[in-house]
Amino acid sequence: MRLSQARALCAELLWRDYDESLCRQAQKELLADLISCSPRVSASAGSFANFLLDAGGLRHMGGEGKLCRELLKLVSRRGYTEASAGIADSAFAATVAALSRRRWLLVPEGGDRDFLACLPVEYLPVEMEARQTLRSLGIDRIGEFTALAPDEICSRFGAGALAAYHLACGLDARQPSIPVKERSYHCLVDLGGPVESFTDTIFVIKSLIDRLVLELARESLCAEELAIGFYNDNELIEERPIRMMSPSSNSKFLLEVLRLSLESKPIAREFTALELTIARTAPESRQQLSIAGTGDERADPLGSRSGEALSLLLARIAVRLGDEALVRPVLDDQYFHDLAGRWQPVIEKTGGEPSAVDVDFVEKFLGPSGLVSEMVLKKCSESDGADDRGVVPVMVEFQESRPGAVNFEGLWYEIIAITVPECLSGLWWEAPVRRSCYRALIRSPFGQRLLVMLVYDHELRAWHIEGIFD
Amino acid sequence: MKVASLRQQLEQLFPGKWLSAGDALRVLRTGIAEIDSESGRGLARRRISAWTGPVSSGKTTLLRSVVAYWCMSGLNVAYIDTCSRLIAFDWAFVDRGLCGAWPAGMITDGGRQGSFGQFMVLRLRGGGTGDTNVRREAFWAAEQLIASNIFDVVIFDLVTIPYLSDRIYARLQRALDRSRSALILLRDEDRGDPGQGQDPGRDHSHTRVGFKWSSNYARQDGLGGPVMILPGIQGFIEKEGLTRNMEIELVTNVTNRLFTHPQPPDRRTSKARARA
Repeated sequence: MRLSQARALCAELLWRDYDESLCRQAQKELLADLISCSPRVSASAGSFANFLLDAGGLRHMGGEGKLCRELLKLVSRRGYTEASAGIADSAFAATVAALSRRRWLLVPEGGDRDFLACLPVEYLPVEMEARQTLRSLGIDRIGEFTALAPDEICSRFGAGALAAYHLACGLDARQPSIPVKERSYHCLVDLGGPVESFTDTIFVIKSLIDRLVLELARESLCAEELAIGFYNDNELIEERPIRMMSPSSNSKFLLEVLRLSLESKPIAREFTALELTIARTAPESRQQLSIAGTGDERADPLGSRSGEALSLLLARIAVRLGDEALVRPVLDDQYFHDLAGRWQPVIEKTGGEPSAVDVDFVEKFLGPSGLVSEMVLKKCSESDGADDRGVVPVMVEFQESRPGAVNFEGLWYEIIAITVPECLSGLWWEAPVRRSCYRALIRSPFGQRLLVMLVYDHELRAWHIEGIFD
Repeated sequence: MKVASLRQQLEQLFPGKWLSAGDALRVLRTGIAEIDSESGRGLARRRISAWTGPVSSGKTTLLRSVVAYWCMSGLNVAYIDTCSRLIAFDWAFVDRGLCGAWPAGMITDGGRQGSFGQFMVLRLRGGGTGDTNVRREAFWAAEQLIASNIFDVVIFDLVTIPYLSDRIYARLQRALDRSRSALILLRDEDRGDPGQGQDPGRDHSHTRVGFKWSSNYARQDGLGGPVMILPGIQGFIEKEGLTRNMEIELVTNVTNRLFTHPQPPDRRTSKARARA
């Protein structure tokens, strides 16, 4: 349902953006509770909501039904009232059983294949395309799928379908494991009195970081995310998470990032205690760094030249100016001058945005001469009278049905030379754009010359200057 | 006879013989023959150079071609776009050594294949150079980029800031002294009256290069009329008390974009047309 419909049902509904760390935290808490039901519990990869438990050896402990009831009761106490359970010999069959409409479903021992055989192929972990192909071949049930020969499945649908075939036959190597207690790294120090400025406590924070880094080094871990909390007489007044550009176990680097982050946003109140926590860790990288002076430097001059220096520079800029301050120009799949490229942050989030234009293909088959622009166009600033789109509305005087003069910044500029219009239109699915773009050489009454992009917007029926060529 | 003029005469007699191995580390060649031959073989590292001109003078286009030349040579360049005026499309190919309009006399020695430098832009938002916060952030960013020792050239777009205060100049110069970067200050002269607001005595630049459009312009004709206007560029280089004039001609291609619809037909009546 939509948010408005949900709000109509429950006025006190709270909306939160998806936060993976919160989901992970909830998963950990639930995992800790589930240990009371079974010694071997693990979370399924790829989903925060699926857990695998070992349900063996329960014959003398009330049976599997009792286990399911206890599990659901425990999970309901946590607030998850829509949970369901499935018990089978293999993890895949148990997962499918949990998807049934019943609160719990027990698959008889040795009956995984028969249980899965009568289910539709939608339950198979294959791609949509393969599923559609199976349907078009008249294979509607998993039993019909497992009746095929494995080598035929592999040759026709690939390795992914072969793995699904094994799962459908009840062969699943996944097993729950004994959960490992997660170690937390945090330090708390009582300053003994109120402190207003962060700089007075820098030496204390340094000692905290040194201690935590030592503990991390023993476990061969690096800090990926820090959290610093400020207390005033046992009351937490502020807590700041600090994410690292790349995991690090260098105490000097961590102190520098912490200092930059806190200097950009000073603490408003005085505090009496500090707590430093390493919220997330990552295994230490064992990759051999390239030795300076080898061919790697020529291949990637920015990457191999002091990674620490680059990380620190990016961290400083990100903290003070934002993640999107340092950018690279990349092409985009548009042909309007202002939309044909975009600024891609150098500090990319996980995944990043793929390039919309295959530059290598264009360069190879069409040549760059058709794409690179002629001269540098600079957008007008607010001091020039530009609006929020970065364009300056102007008036144009026609002479013999051609633009002869333009009023820009309160002055009438004579148009010395003007090109034929470049007519562009598009974006009809968002906001239709129809423009005629001219390149005009104009001269002020003082004799100064400007080369501008003069545009007539057919939708707004108005003229504007898009930018100035410099 | 001054040393500079003696050097110039010797250079004319024996061209290319006076560039020692050390010069390659101290100077950055721009690839533009008019600049490289006049200003002592390029722009100096660890120094501040000024690149000035009216708001529309071709200086940024020339600078882009120089940046492309540097990237092709494997150098890293950073540009501080103080008012976020640049358009991404204009700079998309620069790190591959490609640029739109380039000077006719540009030296293209090919560079090293597959070892291009990197080009990055630092975009600041806010109220423009009149906003003191933006100015402060811009100067801070310039110092950080220089001090990181990652970039060979840092270009600082001052827009209309007339000069650097002595304190800021000293900080930037100190950062340059400890690095190997060159700092180029790109400045628009005041639009109303060129030279207004500037105090040449406060310009601490080691090299100053100025540009403006010349009175001549070339145009490229298409099927229906002119499709490109290319003014020539006049300029001067001021270094070590010497000033030299230069003229640069631009060469370019016509951008190949889609023409998705023809010129809207003129549906006015004959009377309305006659009135107009």
